[in-house]
Amino acid sequence: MHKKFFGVKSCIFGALFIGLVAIGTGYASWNSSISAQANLTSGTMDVEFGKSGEKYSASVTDTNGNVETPVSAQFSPTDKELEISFDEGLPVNALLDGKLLRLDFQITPTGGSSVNKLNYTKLDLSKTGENVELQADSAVLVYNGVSYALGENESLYTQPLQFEVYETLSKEDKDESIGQIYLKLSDESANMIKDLPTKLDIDAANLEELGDDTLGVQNGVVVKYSLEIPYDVFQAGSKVNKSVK
Amino acid sequence: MKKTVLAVLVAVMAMSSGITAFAYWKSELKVKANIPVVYDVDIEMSGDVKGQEKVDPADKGDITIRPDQGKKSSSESVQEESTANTEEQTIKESIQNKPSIEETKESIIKSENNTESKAEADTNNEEIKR
Repeated sequence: MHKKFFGVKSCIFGALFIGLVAIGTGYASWNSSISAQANLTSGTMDVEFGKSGEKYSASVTDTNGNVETPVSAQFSPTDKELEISFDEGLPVNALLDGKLLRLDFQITPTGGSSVNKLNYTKLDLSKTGENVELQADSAVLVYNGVSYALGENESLYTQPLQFEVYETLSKEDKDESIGQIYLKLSDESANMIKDLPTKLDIDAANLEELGDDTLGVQNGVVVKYSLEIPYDVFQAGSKVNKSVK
Repeated sequence: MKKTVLAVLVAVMAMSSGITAFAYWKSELKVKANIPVVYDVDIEMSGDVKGQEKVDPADKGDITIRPDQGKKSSSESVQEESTANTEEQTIKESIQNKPSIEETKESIIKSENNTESKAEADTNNEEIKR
């Protein structure tokens, strides 16, 4: 005798199956989805020295950093480096009086820079700046506008000088950025300079002429120091103050 | 077991949410300079500096320009000595070539004697003719 093909359990299974199919079909019919896709990039910041010669200057400032006496100098900027050569010598007495040597230069973002908001800072002399050492390249004696070799006295004047460096960035008109570097003679070097001889007895027979002096100095000792300072530019909002330790 | 695993997961999530990262962009430039510093020094020069001859302003109206005697170089002094020596030599030669004073006196005396003898001869001839 044949068993009943459609038992009770089979009926229940079938009913559930059909019900679930109906539920899924209904859900798929009354459903819509939307999606959003976003691409995020971190951006780049790149600045360089400006090519406008009018924004470059060198000067001696008072103890507060205000320009007092301009100094004639030649500026040769490339993209990432700036070379400065002075046309006249700096009187050491000005540095001993606490005055600062100030260098101004223009900074502009490059064409591929997407981060163009820079971190502007002000000069704060109440805090100690970073120390930098200037090495002496040469020392000559100038007498009546002519340069002579110092001879055995050269070692006295070719000692390195210690300076405190302050770096600031200010905003000029038309979204122009001007960087400044202030150099202040340290107390240690000031004391060393004060101990240097102020009177030289020179034997004319032993003088070695080096040529005409090109810095407009008539009489004195001219020492040339080399300086190399990294200048960092930060984006706006950073909490790094490069002008102080 | 489940409680320990759950506790570890909660701790990890709490710590990860407390860590904050802060970064900023920086661009580096470089500044190079040669700074000449002038030291005031009193210079006392002993001796003469070469190549710095001075001309007195009073000599400007003169026809000849006289160099200062105290400021001649060694080469110039040697040259002047040599010229002075040659001048002396020429003077000496000229003196040597000239006849001495005694010789001139003798020549004068001789010439006088000759004239006297000629005069005597003439008078004698005149007397003979008479």
